[in-house]
Amino acid sequence: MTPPARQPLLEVEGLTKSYPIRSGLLQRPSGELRALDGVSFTVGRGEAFGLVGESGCGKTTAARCILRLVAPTSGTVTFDGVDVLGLDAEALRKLRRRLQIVFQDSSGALDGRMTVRQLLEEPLVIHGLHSRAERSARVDAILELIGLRPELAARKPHQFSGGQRQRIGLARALILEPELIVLDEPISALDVSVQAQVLNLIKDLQRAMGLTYVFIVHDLTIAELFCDRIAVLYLGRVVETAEATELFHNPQHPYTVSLISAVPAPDGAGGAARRRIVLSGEVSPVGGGPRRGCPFRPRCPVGRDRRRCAEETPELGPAGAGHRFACHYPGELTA
Amino acid sequence: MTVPAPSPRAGDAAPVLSVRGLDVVFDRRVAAVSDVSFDLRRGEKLAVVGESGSGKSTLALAVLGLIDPPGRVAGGAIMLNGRDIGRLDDRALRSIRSREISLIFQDAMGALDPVKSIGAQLVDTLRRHRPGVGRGEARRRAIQLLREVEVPAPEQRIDDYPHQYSGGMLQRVMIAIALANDPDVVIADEPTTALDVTTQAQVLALLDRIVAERGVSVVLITHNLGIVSRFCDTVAVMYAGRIVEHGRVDAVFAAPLHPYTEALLASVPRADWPRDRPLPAIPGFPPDLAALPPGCSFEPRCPLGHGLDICRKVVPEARRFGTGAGSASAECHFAGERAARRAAAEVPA
Repeated sequence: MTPPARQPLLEVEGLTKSYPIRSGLLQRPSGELRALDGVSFTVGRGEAFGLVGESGCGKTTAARCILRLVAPTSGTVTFDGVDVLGLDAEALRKLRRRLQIVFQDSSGALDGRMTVRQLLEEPLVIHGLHSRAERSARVDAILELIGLRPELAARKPHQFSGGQRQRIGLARALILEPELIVLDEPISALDVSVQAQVLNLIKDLQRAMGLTYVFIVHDLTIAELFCDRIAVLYLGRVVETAEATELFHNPQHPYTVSLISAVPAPDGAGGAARRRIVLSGEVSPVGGGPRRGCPFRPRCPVGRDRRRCAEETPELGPAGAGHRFACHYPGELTA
Repeated sequence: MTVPAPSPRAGDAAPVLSVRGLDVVFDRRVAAVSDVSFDLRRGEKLAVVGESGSGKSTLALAVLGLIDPPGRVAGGAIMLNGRDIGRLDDRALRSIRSREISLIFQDAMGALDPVKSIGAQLVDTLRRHRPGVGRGEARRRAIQLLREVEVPAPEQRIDDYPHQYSGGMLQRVMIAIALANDPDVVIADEPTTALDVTTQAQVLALLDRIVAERGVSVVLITHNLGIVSRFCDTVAVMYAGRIVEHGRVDAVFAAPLHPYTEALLASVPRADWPRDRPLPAIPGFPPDLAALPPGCSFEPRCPLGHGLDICRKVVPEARRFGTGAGSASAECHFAGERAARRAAAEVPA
C-alpha cells in the first residue's frame, strides 16, 4: 500500500503547535507543551483520511490548524497547491468556502435563535453567493439531500433530535459545496441507532459530491469502517499510519494494538477471544512525556523497561512506505 | 475494613434489590419509566441499556429516591433488602444511601466539591454514617480506599483537590466514595462514558475487581453494548420507558428475542463489516415520550411489526421464555415465535 495514488488535495507537513507552560506566582513561561509535534500527512482528492487518538493526542488541534482556526507554531498546510498559512484574510475567507468543518456538538455550533432555513442560508449570505431565490432553492435541495422535510426548515435547532441536528450541521457545511470537510467526531454525541444513519449519510454524500474528508475520531473501529487511510496520534505525534484495513488487522505499534483491544465488542465470544490489554497510566501531555526516548514508553507494555525506548525517540519510518510506525519493537504486542 | 462477603452463586438467596411495576411520571403525565420490574441478586452485575430518552437514568434515580418534582414515582415498589424504600421519607432515605445503596455518576468533576480536597470529601462520606469514627481513623480509611482504587501515592494525593486529578483518577475517587460505607448495591450511571477508551478499560477492570472482592451488586447504566458484554452478567434493554428484554447477557446477545435488541446490536459498528455496504441502521428516531403510539412503542421503527394491526394497537406484555439461567423475558408479540426458533436451533446439552 502506497500513499494516495489520487492527486493530493491536502498536504500537511511538519505541523507543530506549542503552548507556553506558565508557572509560579508571576506566571513566567517555564516550558512548552507540544500539542502537535511534527505531524505530516497527505490526503488525496476523494479520499477519507482518519485521524485517530484519545483526548490530548492533538487530533482536534490538527483540525483547527488545517482550517487556520488556530495558527500553528511551525509547519505547512497546502490545499490544492495553495499555502494555507501564507494567505491574507480575504484569500483565507475565499478558501474556507472550499474547506469546511463539522463539529461534534452541532447544538453548540448552531445559533438557537435562528430557524434551520436561516442557518442553512447564512453561509451563502456570508460568502455573498447567489440571488435570494437561488439561495432558497439551494436550501431546499440540501434539505432533501440530508433527508429533512422542507416544512421542518421553519423550526429552530432545539426542536430536533441530536441526529437531526447533526444532519443540519452537515448541511450547513455542504451548502457551500466545499471540496474538503473536516469531520470532528461527527457521531460521538449520537445514540448508537442514529450513529449508523449519520455515518451512512456522510458516506453517501461523499460518493454523490466527490467530497474529501478528514475524519477525526477516537474509535478506531469506526475509522476502519469509514476511512481509506488512518493516522494514529499519540501526544501530538503520528505513531502509526497505513491503509485502514491493514492498520486494523496488522497493527504494529503497541499503542494502536491497545486502542483496538480497548474497544469491547458486544458479543461474549468476540470479547473473550480477543486479548484485553489494559494500559497502565493515562495520556498526560503536561510534563508527562519524557524528553528523551519514546513518548509512549511510560505506558508501553513492550518498551517500558527497555533501554533503547528510554534513550532513542523512534521515527515514523520512510515516507515512501505505505505502512509506517514509530516503534523500536513493532509487532511484539498482539491482541 | 469489613470482611468481604462470600462469593455469590447465581440464583441463591433472595434478591438484594427487587423493583416491581415501577412507574415514574413527569410533568403533563409523561411516563419516563413504565411498569418496570426486575430483581438484582447479591453479586449480580446488571446492565440497563438504552438510548437517550429510554428512561435508564430516570430508573436509576428512582431507585435511589432522587426523582425531583415535578417528577414522581407514581406506582410500584422498590424493595431493598426486603424493605420498600419507595415509601420512606427523606431522612430515612439518606441513612440508606451510601450504606445500602450508592451511586457513581458519569460526571465526577461535577459530582465532587471543587473547593474541598479529595480526602475531606472521603472523610465526610465515611463519617456521615459513622459519627463514632474519629477524624484520624476516617483519614486512614480514606487512604486505604484510595489505595484500593489504585490511586498512586494515596498518602500524598489525598490532600489534592479535584482539579489536580485526571478524569480517570476522579472516576476512581467516585468509586471509592460509592464504596466507602460498604453498600450492598452500587448504581453506576455511565461511569466511563466521559473517559478515553484506554482509561475506560482501566476503570472497568478496577470496578470489576472491587465488586467481585466485596460481593457488591451493580446496576450499570450504559448505552455501550460492548461494555455490557465485557462487564455484566445480565442485561435489561429499555425502550421508551419500558424494559423490553431482560436476560443473561450471553443469551440475549447471542439470540435476542426483541427486534429492538437485535437492531441495536446490529447497529454497533464492527470492523469486519463490508466497506461498500451501508451500515445497518435503525430507521427513524427514538419516540417522543409525550406522544407514544397506542400499541408497541417500537412499532414505527420495527422491521417485524411495522404496520401490523396487533403491533399498532396492543401493548405487548412481558413474557418469560425458557427456564433456568438461560431464560429471558421480552415484550414483543413475536417473542414466542423467536424463542421457539431459538430453542429449536440449540443443541440439547
